[in-house]
Amino acid sequence: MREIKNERLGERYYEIDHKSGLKILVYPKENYASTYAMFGTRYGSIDTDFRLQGEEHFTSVPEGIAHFLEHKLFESEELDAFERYAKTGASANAYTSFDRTCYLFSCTDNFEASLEILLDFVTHPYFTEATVQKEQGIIGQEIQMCRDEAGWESLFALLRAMYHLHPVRIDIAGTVESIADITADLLYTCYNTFYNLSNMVLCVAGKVNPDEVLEVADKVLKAQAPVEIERKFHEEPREVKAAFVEERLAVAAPIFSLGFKEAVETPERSLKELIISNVILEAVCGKTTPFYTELLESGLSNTSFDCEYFYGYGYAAWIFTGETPDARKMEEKLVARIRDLQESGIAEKDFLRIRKKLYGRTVMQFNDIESIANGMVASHFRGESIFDDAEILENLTLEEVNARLRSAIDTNCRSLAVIRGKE
Amino acid sequence: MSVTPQVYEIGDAVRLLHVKTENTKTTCISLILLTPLCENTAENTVLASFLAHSAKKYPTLARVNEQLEELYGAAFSSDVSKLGEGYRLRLSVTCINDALCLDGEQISADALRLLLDLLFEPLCENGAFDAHQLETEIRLCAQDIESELNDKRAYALSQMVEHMCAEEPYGLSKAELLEGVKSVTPESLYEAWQTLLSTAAISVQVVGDVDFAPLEGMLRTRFGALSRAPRAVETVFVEAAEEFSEYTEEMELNQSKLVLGFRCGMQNADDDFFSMRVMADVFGGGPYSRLFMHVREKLSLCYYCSARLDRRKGIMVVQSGIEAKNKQAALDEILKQLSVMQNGEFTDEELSASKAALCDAYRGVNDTPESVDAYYAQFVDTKPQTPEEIAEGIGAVDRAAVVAAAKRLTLDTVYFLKGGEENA
Repeated sequence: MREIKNERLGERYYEIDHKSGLKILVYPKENYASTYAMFGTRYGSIDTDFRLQGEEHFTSVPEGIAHFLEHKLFESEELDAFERYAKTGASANAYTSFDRTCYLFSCTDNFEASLEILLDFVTHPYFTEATVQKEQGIIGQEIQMCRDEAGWESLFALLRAMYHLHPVRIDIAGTVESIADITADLLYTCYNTFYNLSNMVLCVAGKVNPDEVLEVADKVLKAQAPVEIERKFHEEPREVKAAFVEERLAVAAPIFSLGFKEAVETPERSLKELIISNVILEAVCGKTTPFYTELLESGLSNTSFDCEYFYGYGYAAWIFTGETPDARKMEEKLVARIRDLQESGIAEKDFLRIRKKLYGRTVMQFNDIESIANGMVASHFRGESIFDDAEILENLTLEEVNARLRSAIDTNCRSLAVIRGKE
Repeated sequence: MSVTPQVYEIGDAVRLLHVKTENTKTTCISLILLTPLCENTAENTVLASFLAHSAKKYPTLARVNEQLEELYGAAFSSDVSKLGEGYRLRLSVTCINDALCLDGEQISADALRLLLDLLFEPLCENGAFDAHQLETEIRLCAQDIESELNDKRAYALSQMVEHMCAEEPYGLSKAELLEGVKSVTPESLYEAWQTLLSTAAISVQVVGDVDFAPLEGMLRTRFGALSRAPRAVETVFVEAAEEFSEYTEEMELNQSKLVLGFRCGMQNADDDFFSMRVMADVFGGGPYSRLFMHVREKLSLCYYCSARLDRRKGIMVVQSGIEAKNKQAALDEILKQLSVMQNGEFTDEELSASKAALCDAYRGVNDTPESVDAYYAQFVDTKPQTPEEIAEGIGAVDRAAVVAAAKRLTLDTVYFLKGGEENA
């Protein structure tokens, strides 16, 4: 057991290599009534082609299967997980993203019983053709719901325009057609590959101590031989697939998503690159910039305007979204703004203010056990610690930021997606 | 942790609520003003936006945000929402603890000063708000109202409420609000601002691990100087619906939305509250609830189907997203589950699961300043109940009380936002 400390924040957590092969991170918070636990696997919607080391062939699976598996894991031959949690009072949930699947609960009481349920149901799959079929109706409605959400649709229209082959372009839940091909056997194949404890992490934060967690882990988890997973990704062309796409939905005003596709030489971004990217986005169009005010006052944008550094295994992009009466004009403005800033560089005083802001935002996260647990899962999968942010920020230089501003955003490599109202 | 709020009267119907938390990283400060919903509704809607974006000392949005960034990225928010038939304007700031600032700054006092400048020193002169900024604010508010359509679940809910409460202030019409917002003038906005400061019930909340005395001093000075003529918010509680009305609206959608509005038979926000809260939760709260287990899990009709009680208005709303062709099946099943509640045919396990989950959620409120601040914002003009008190009340609810509460429900309105194959 290793203690990881941050003196300035007065915070610490414990890192444990459990004998089962699972990495466990425990972050005790004094004076808290709640505990938040998250059991995650490095497996998401982009993992559609894979094999275990030693296997001859790659397995291709239907789009949306990681999310489908997340739903089905809650079931067992006897009581499903929700029925078991109902006895402990914990509030439980799960989510699937592009590159991970996480099962979680929060509680103020009966922590050990709830943790036992979590570890038990995630390590005991039970899939049958009948239960798979039942879920197709429920997930079908989840997919339809998302297809009516303009922001979601706009993001995926953009991803499909930017990417030719990378599976980030497919919807996390798949399509009504693709999930029809999911079978119990396929679910077991995915499960046996990605739910190996060596590919997972357990993070607990709040009212908890490491011994309580270990006691339950010792009881429930069986030792597993680690696996090496190979993911197959097709070579993604540098160029975007389409510079412009348009779709129609019932919306009040057109919604745009503009993405600048970054050339990625290594599949994953370092924490430092992520932090610098956030500094750059603040400098480009943060609320203190005259540019943001101009967009607002000219009527080209409103308070829905937002931006994001979007990244994951094998992809990275700079994405700007919002409502606008004129998406083309918006694109023109943003491109010009980025080029100007690349030319002039970010000013020292702006850099210092942004850095101060991001330091404050980093500190704020440490109140909330949900964001701590999520942050631990994310930083663990990246091979870093949740305390690294503050230190990287403190040592960041303007030169590094300006260098990345100039190298990482290619304003010519972009796609614009627009969702317009129905006619 | 167990924390009891300290409550001080610092003016006529001006309350200061202080909750001291320990070892937390942030301080949250909120200024909350509650006024009757039907009075200056459009102006108050615009005010929430106008006050958030400028002040005499910070004449532009960029200047306000520069100041927030100097305060280590203090997070600021401003909004209006219904609280029963009151309209609640809330300006909030969250900043990191003074102790965590890198150069020993006292940013909590600066954060409060900014908040007070925004509320008390807006960009105005000679009895009128700044016309140039108002133009932008009116557009932003109008777009905000119109863009509710982008969120079909929210849109369907507010359409149902508009129909159900058409005769009550609560049924605030979006179309009328939009018209009103567009006709706000620099003078009418100034008037409304004055009225708000003089007549609203005001609650100021300070939550965190922070030196309270200097903040209290500033607040007493500022609010003590106000000339006040407070007016109470009254809410119409309709006890029962005679028969239900049905409305269908068609739209090109992939998923249809079914929304049901019930009258709870409550006469005020405290009337049978604990029983109602548990009843609504057994019926359609968490994944252990009747609606989740039956409409979703057994019949696979939907991804979500849930019930929510609004204690300040005495209504309960059920929402679900379904295929258009399944409307009748979903409606039948929801009503069937309601009769299960009314006949007491739910299990003891379901009842205890619901009570355990509710109590668990209330016991966690005190963990962070953000959740404490959000929690107490519901008690602007009423005596604050602690989360522990509510958990205790919920713990005491028994089966007979839940059945009695369910029997008080009457279905008032069925609203269907119809999409479907032919419309998609």
